[in-house]
Amino acid sequence: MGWLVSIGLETHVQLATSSKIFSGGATDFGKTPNSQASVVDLALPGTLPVLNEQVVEYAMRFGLAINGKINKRSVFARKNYFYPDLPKGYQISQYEEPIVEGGSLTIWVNNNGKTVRLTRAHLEEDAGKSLHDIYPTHSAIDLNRAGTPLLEIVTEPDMNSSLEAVEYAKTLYELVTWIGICSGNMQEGNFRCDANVSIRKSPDCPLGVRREIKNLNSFKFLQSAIDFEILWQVGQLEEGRKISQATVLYDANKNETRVMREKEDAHDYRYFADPDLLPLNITNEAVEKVAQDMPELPNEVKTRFAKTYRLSREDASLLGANRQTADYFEETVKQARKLITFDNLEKIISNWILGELFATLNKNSLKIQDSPVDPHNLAKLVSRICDGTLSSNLGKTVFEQMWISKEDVDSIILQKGLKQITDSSEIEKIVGTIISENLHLANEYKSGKDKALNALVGKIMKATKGKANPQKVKDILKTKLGY
Amino acid sequence: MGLSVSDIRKIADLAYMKMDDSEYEELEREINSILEMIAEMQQVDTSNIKPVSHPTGETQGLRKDQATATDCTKLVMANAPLEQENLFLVPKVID
Repeated sequence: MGWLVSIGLETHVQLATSSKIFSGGATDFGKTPNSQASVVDLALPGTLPVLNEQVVEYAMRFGLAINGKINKRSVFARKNYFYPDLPKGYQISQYEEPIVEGGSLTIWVNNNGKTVRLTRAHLEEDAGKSLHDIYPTHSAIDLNRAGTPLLEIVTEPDMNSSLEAVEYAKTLYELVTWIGICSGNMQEGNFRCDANVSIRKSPDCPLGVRREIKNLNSFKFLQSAIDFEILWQVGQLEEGRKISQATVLYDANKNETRVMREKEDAHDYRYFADPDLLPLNITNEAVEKVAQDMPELPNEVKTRFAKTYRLSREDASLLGANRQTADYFEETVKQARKLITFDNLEKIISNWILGELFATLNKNSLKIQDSPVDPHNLAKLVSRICDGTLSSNLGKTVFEQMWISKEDVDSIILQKGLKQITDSSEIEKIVGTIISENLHLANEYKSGKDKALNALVGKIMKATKGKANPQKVKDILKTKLGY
Repeated sequence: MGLSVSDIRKIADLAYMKMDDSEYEELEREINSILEMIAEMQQVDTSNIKPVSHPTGETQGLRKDQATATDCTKLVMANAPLEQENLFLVPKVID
């Protein structure tokens, strides 16, 4: 029996600032414990928080990117709860009046676009870190992370499968790193998701009771946690049990979710406007100024790539997955167009980047911006393949050499004698020799066995060390063998 | 209207306040009399009046994104009742 799944995500995006949201404490990761927590982050008596202008600009950038409403006035509120890693006994967040409301994000699943509506995005500070495993009798507290700026982005329950949820998370990740508000280091917890999952019988029923899976910090865990949760909920309801609202944790080792707290224990956060902070006022001029500096967004770039360079949506998505790859691709196209006019030039470049370049980058754990083969050299290599100097296979040999020595394409071709033989008379000579050495194959071909032709081509390519143009070899063979 | 003893226990729990059982009944009386006063105030029509959580009308000033408070370890750890390797130690909590 079918169930309709509804998923909403809350994502904590760490904003890429040098200092905390309300203090001059530094935000560097991995420093000596408690060396970056300032007296303001701890709210020691006599201190007052002052808002970091950079986080306001980042939130505006995000609001513009998702076409949301940037509120002229937003208010910081205290969210009250007790936990050892929350030094103040409250977290400064935004509640009734967040900085951004509404907006949407388009995700692509199996080549279909789908709109996910965003509810809101609000600014808040992160808590410190509890370390439970270092000492047997005590928990240890490192407050370095306390006060680190976060943008919490909340969606409507618009996703209907774990795949859609992951696609949304990836799209959001691409967006926040693309517009430069988050450095995107998932290992350091720069991007964390909570997933609200519920199931119901049909779209006409109200939403089912939801359970919230906390703190999923990888796309893989996000997917497997939701998959497990859906199966668990379906099992409960089909066996006639009820689901009660709860917060759960995902255990990646056991691949299961387990209850952290039930609804009865749900925190009552007793929000109220923080008297230490005045309402944040954002002027139209400030929004306009940020709008002027907005880059072309990932979805726009992908659509443009697909359209103007005649690429498939999938290839365009891969090339537009981050700004560095998109820039690399466009720069290579620009350079290659200066060197050659060729019908499928952009598609060939795309294949080289997504194939050989990506594979070699992965093998060497390098990012595209650190590639030893730069757009200029890749453009030259592609142009040498398009103008027939190199076969694709020899192109790969040249690529490997370029990767190691960073030498010029032409000098590698010259050095290694890789230039493709296109001179017909030279090929004819070799073809003649191979036919006379393999008369049985020639006869087989003449008697109708097409495979024999390929065998002959193979022998010729071997004799020329791959340098003969295969199409020319085939043509000459056919002529010589009477076709 | 009004709070019961169990409501008050819940609030005390949320605020991490430890109280003797005998205190709750007295608190119930006191809190409920405050609530009655608030109920009386709520009869005033305030539909045309804006909330005054920030009565001055001023708005938030902003600071530049600069890390000015570097290495606060000493200040921060000064009040730690128990510490090891620059970490605060607290009773074991897992939630």
